[in-house]
Amino acid sequence: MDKSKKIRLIVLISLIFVLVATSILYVVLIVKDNRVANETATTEETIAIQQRLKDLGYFNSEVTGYYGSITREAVRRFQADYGLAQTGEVNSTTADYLGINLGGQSSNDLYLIAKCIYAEARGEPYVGKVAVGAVILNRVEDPNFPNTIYGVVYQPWAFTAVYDGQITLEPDEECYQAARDAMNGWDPTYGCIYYYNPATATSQWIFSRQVVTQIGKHVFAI
Amino acid sequence: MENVKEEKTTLSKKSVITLIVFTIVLGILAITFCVLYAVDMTKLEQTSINLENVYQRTFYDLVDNVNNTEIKMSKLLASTDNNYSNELLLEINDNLTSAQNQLSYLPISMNGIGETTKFINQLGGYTSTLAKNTKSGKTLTTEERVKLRELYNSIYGIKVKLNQISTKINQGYNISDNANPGKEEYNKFTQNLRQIKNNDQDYPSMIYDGPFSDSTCNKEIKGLNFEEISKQEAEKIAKEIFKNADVKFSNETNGKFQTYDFNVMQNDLNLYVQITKKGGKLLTISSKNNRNAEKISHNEAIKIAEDFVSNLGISNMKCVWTDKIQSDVYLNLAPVIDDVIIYPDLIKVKVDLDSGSIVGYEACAYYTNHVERNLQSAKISKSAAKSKIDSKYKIETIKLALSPIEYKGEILTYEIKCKYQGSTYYIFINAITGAEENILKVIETQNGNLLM
Repeated sequence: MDKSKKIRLIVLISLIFVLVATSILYVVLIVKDNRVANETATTEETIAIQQRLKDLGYFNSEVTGYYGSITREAVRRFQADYGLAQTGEVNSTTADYLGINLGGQSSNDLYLIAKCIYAEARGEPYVGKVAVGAVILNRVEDPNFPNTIYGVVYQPWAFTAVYDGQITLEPDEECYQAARDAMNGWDPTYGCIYYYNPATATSQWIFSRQVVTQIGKHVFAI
Repeated sequence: MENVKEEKTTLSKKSVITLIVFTIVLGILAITFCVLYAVDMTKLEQTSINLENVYQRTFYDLVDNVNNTEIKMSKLLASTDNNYSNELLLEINDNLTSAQNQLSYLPISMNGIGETTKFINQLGGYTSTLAKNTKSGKTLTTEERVKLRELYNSIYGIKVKLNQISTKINQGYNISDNANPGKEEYNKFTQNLRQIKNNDQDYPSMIYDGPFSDSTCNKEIKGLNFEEISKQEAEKIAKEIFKNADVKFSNETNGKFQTYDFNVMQNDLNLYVQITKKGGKLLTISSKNNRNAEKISHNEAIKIAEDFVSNLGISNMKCVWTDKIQSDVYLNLAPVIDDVIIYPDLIKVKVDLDSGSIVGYEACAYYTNHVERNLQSAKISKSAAKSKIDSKYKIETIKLALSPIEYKGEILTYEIKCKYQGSTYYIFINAITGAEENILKVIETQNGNLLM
């Protein structure tokens, strides 16, 4: 009798534990999802903000592009001195006082390419990053692919990182530089429209393409 | 005996209470979990309905555009009037541009319908080229009419197959359900769409020089008529350009250009250097710039770039455009011969304003286009070109420039830089005919200046 009670108790407790754990995990996952979606200030903008604050003597740390508590505090002090609402966030009024241009025109394409490079090739050498950017731009020019940068990046199943959602990650400074080089015409692959990692590629079809070069882990092909 | 019995009953009472408490806690947790799950599932269901709606709308738009193209092409074949043909060609081009967009929104496995995409893109390019011809007064030739008839048959085939899929969708076919990437190379939806290509007949090829024509895709390289060199010779050339640097062979690239590629370590820079197999010319340097301070001036950067190019043995190169982004400056260099800027032979150089070192070099355009040219002289005078500009626009400079004009080739122009309401414009006037060939506007962005 006593023994079976104990067993019942253990079963009950472990059941409750599993349920509590699942619920917590569930809530955490939902919250985490929302947090990723809520990040808005781009690295590029943050760099501009930090640089400007540094020039004006409000910000003494290194310019990193990360909008954290130090930057927020510096913005707050700047806002206090200029009689603005001390929110710690840079809205358009604060941006005007800082003399920086938020949301200027046409950097959307650059931002998207930088994001795609970061998601697809952040572990690759610099030239491999430029090459991934160049492949995107080569596809825009190719009749077999969509005709805009957005069309190419968001073409269904064209890039693994878009399919699995890594495209929402914020790119780092190096990926911005690589994207800028690619948009300025740098193409170390000279016209490639495909790349793949031979160790992980699953599509048989991709191996039939003519290989042009290998940079880092990626093979580039036409 | 009695005592023992009593103890037993009290014990079981206690355990009953704990059991009830546990059951209640368990119940509450289970209900919370179920509610959370249900809320999420409803959201998921709503999202998939929304997604399916977007897919279906996109698909029906595609069908509309292909139907319209087919009808307008048959009208075009019936028309003998230049103006009416021109209107139809422009409308067909609009329909095809939209159709191309819709194709790229649909969940089609990559390359599943590459042929059809290419056909639609090229038909769009072809009709836009014909539209330009008819606008300038040329009537459609007999060959063009024969070609249009062939193209009409292909678009008719696509139309029929698309309308068959429409009927399926009307009967409850769900695009998203059929779009899951399965084990096959292409998902079911793609397989259904693949049937739109006529199996027995390839799409007719179109010969024209416009957007997406094969001739612009496979541009011939004119500036590299040299003997092929060996890897060792290329390494020697790299070592000569980058003195006191560690040069290591990395790979070969056999694309549109064929190169030997080297990793070059110079001071704290890690450069990826590509030397052409033909002639051993420096083609590309790619490198990250560890941007720091700005220690050198803009003019010093221009001199560094011009000297670098001239040391490579390329003469007359002058800086014609710069764009500074933080501590990088991108410089465009072009030959200036007899005061004419030769824009097709562009070389791009990236200089680090901290160390003054070259961190980027790109000469593909130069080696693609560079030939000995016999330049025509201008037939229109400078003042005549100036008079073409709206008087509200303040002219700053006027220069002769050989400009690559899309689908027309290299044209001698006057490049007139002017300002209006704080914006800078570059207006290109044909120096032979006086026609306006191109207008570029300088757009200032947080990422430097763009010419659009």
